[in-house]
Amino acid sequence: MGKQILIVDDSPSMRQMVNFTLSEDGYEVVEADGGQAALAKMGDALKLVITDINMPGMTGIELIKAMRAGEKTKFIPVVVLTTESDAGKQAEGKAAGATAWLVKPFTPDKLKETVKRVIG
Amino acid sequence: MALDPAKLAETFREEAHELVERMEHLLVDLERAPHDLETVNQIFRALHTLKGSGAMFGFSALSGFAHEFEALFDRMRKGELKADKAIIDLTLAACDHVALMLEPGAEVPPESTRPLVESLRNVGGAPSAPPTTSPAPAPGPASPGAPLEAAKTFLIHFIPKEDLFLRGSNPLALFEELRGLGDLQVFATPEVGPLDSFDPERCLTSWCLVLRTDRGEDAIRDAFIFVVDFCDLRIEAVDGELTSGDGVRRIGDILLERGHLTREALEEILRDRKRFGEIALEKGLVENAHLAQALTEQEALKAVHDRRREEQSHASIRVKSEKIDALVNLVGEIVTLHSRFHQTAARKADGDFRALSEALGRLSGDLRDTAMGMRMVPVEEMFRGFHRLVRDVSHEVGKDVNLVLRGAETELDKNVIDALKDPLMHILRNAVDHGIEDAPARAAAGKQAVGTVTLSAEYEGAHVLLSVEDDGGGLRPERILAKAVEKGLVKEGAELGEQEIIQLIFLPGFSTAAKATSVSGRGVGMDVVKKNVERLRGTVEVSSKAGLGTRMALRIPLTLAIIDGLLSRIGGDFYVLNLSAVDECVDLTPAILATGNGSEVVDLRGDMVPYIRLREHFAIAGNRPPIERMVVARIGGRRMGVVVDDVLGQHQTVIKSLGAAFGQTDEVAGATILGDGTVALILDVNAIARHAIAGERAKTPTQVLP
Repeated sequence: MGKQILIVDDSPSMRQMVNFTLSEDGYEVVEADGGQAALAKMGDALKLVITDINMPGMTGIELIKAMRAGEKTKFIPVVVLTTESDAGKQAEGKAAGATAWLVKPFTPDKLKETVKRVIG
Repeated sequence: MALDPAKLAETFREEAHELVERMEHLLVDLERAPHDLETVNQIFRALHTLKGSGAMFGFSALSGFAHEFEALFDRMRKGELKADKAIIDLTLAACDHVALMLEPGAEVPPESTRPLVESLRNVGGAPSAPPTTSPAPAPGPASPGAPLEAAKTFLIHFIPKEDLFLRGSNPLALFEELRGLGDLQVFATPEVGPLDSFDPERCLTSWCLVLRTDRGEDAIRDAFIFVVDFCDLRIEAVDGELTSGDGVRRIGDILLERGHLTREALEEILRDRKRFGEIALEKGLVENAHLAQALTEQEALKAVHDRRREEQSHASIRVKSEKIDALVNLVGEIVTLHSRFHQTAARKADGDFRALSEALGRLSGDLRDTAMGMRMVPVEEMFRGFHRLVRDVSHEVGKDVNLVLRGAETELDKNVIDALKDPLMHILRNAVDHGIEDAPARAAAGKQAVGTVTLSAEYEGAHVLLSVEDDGGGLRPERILAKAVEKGLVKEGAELGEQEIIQLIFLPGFSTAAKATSVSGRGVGMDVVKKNVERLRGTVEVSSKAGLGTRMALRIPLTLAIIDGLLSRIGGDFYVLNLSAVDECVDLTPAILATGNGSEVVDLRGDMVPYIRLREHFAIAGNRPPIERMVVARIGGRRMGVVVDDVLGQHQTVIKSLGAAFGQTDEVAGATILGDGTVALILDVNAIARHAIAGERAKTPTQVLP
């Protein structure tokens, strides 16, 4: 299996942007519109999760916590997308086990760069 | 797959429109239940997405506005404010403004935004504190071009002890935190040594980091707070002149710092402007075999990625509806062509040919179903929009009305949904304006003060039944009749049954509004509604119970592209009867014909059914067969027969429009190509019945005038 990345965001345009951008770099991108859907889509091929923080239902932080509690998902790196530049959300994300974050708005290059850095 | 900014912007625009619609709906909910924190949160999230994604896709003005808008809901979330009518009115206006800003090519002048922003800020009396979160285009590393105040570049030498990993520290997370401070570049120096003595649990790598940030050295030290005891850490601010350059200079800077590179060598590299790694290797300036290794790995990875590129999967994509229309059209052609192919195959005694034709038939059938399915979308989006309508209308007429939605998940052809929006809006307006009684009348009737209008959708075979039901006073036939007489639509003293009277509301120029309001009196009558629905090959039925309410039911075919009809024959020509409301087919035996006593009516089990002979209606030459067939349809609450030579059976077919030349003939809805290539006209039985009835009335003007 190739390098699979899961993008979790309730905003279709964000998912599409991430999908297009990372597909360009040859990643296999899977989309989920929320935390629960994301957990259902995590398979063995998954190398990275990119998630929004602010989502209906399960939030990004809750998703990370759930992943860290799961045997199979414990070590999958998570990049958090956020518009909050306040330290509170980032600290919360870090405490939950986030690997990296990206502050919206970001450029496609910035996204590629972050992903490359996290999973090579 | 190219990353097209225009396409992304278009996707965002669609998404944002959906968000705005959802917000309108939520705002209406919020007005009813101002304490519902979940509703506030949902609106907040929608605005948050608008703000974040808007900034991503070049809608910075919108993003800024959404930020102000969001700040208001942040205050609500914190309990500082409670939604009241004024706030809802303001925020609905703000929603409209967002929609305006979304219009393609719209340049909303800041002057028109400012008053709204002011109002949003001033909600709750005194001007509020500045927004609690920073605006989306936050001054930060992520917004290129944003001026960084007093940004400095720091060189960080991070040399962890070997037991770093064992202590549970993850350097990556650390670097991420630094990344949050500013623009970070990380250079690792692995010193792994011979593989036989390699221990992966020991950290044998040291790092050199270049960080450009405006937060100062303390913030950097804070990031290292958990590892500072397990590493050798040096942080230095670098000369400001060097920091203004690009990444290459900073890499060079590090190597200079380390003494791996001379200033001259660095400048030589910079002149070449190639990739740093390549040049460094090429020139033998850096003796680091790991660099070569890393490059090889990168190449290998890239090759894998290139292969992978072909195998991407997308959970969903958005496609312009014209493209799907074109596809459905082509699929229709294929299905039609296949049936001709099939008939040809059937005539030839070639087994292989037939097997091929059958396989092709299965495929084209699947193709048709799939293509049709693509156009089906839930009616939910349209339904949700009506919350706002009902709210506005009920405020306008001073009634308290609740809209209940049922079956919003029901799917319909997108084109049909678009075409249904106006008729449904009109019916809903009527329901609120005329259907629901005013408060005193409701109290007198012992009803709840809040009126209820129920909009529901459900499947019914190849149709969807949409109904609007109110719990108002019901239609009053005597008033309808009086109105029709007053308008000159009916002669005074005409004897009409209740159903017939109710049908009068569909006549052009009819309006029951005792007092004309701006809401319903907009020049669009039920006749237009009916015409629009019939254009979709649907039917409108009205039923009403005095004192209990009125129900308008629209039966709409699932899709516009395919119709279910009865294939019939008159003489040598074929016709498809577009019958959405066929009751039955009857053989017109002489015995049955005799029950009409010479007039064009027959007695079907006690029910007198008038009929039209299509052969006569269309003046088709030739003689009638001894026993004709009659298709009985339900049209406008009455049963009516359509007489043809023969009924061949049910026929599902793709409609071809006849083009502008036949624009005047509403009796012919289109044409279709039969399996053997013959063209059959698709007849609109509703229109035929209307014309026939009009003709009858013209002959006997004692009744309803056309």
